[in-house]
Amino acid sequence: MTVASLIAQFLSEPVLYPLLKEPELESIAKREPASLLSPADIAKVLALFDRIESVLDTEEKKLSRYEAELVAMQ
Amino acid sequence: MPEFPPRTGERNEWWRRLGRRAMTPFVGMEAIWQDAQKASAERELKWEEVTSSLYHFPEWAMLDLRAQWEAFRFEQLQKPKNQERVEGRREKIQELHDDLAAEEHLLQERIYAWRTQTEEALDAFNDDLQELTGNRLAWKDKTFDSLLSTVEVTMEALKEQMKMIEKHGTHVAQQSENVAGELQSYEQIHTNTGEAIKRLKLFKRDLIVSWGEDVTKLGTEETIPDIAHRITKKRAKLEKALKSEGTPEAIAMRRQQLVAERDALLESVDHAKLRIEMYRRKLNEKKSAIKELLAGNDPRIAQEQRERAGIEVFLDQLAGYESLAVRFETPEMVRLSTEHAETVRDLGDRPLAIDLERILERTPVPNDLRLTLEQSFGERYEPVTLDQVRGLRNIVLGYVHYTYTEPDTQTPDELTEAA
Repeated sequence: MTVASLIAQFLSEPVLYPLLKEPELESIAKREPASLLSPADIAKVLALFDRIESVLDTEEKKLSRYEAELVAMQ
Repeated sequence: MPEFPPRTGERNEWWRRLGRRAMTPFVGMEAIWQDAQKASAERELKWEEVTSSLYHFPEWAMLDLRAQWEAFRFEQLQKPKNQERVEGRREKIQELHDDLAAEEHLLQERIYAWRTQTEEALDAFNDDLQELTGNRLAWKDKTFDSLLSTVEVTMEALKEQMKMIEKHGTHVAQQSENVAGELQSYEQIHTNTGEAIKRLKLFKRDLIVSWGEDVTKLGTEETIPDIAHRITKKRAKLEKALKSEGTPEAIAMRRQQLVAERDALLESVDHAKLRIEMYRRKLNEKKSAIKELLAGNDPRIAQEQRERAGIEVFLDQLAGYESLAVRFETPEMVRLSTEHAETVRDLGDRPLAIDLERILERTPVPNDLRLTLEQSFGERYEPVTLDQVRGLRNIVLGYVHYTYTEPDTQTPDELTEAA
């Protein structure tokens, strides 16, 4: 899987979509999987990955909270 | 919410909220649930809220389940009237269960008594019967009817025996008058058989009279498994009737439903967590792959770097051509160059042609750029002009712009101006 196709997959995830709404990232995501990203693009993608990871952390905390609540329902 | 009603236009809203808060214990969780539904309906309209979760359905489902759970607890455990009703139903159910158990016990006792009585009477009768016929009545099928039919068959057999004895006795009497002793013994057997038939008839009558009540009530065909089946059916019917709202069974069923919903939600949360894990793994894989690429371990990156370096070399060469071409562009420029040059050698030579083919052979530019340059410029053996050099440079800068930089940020003209 290329970076572009990975971003395209993330685009289908509602929670991550706002992160990818920026035009430059959309343009990266719309490129063909075989296309080669420039170093500038790669830097942007890495920054995006960091942001996605922070979103995933938040989501995981939220899910853990849900889990604790559900377990408490006895 | 402020402690006192505000003087502004929010006054009505304040009173409304206060009223709702005051009514909450009476209205119960229903009102809270309606608020939650309203809030969720409002929130659904906002894209940011919808996208606030990786899987937004647990958020609504959690809200729904929590409200249901609380309502369930509130209804079933906190309402005094409901509690009393539940207690009353529970007592009634317990009574019905006790009645059913008592009835079952009574039936078992009666069945046992009936069987014991029958077996005792049969044993007593069999002792007499064995003396006469050498046979015993057996209660094989353990039913009243089988015993009765056995009695009938035995009685018929005895009657046949009596007829044969009568015939034989008459025949003996006709044959000889000297066999009085034998005849007497036949008559004795005949009398005994008749008595046996009488006793059998009495036994049959006693059987029917003494057990008639039980037999009528239980049914002549009803065996012990039949009775057990009837009681089980009755019990099932009773339990079905008891499964109405408000009974402990119904409460337990409702609770089971909620527990099932909770388990389903837990499962979906588990799936979401797994999905996050999957994304993490993919991100890490991709990060490490990108690091590898940046470290130069990918041939495509190396190739791209070589091509970029080639483009830069080509642009440098074009700049050299341009600095020479600009001197001979106009007579004015030639005059100016001559004035600034101390000798003719310092003036330099005007390039006669750009050997594009040779330059491109030695410079690793991308193939598509090479083709574009060759198609647009071709073989020219003429003095190099400033337009030619700038045309080539525009082609290269345009290619760089469309390939390596963001689109629509700067036009090629702007790039030319910037250059």
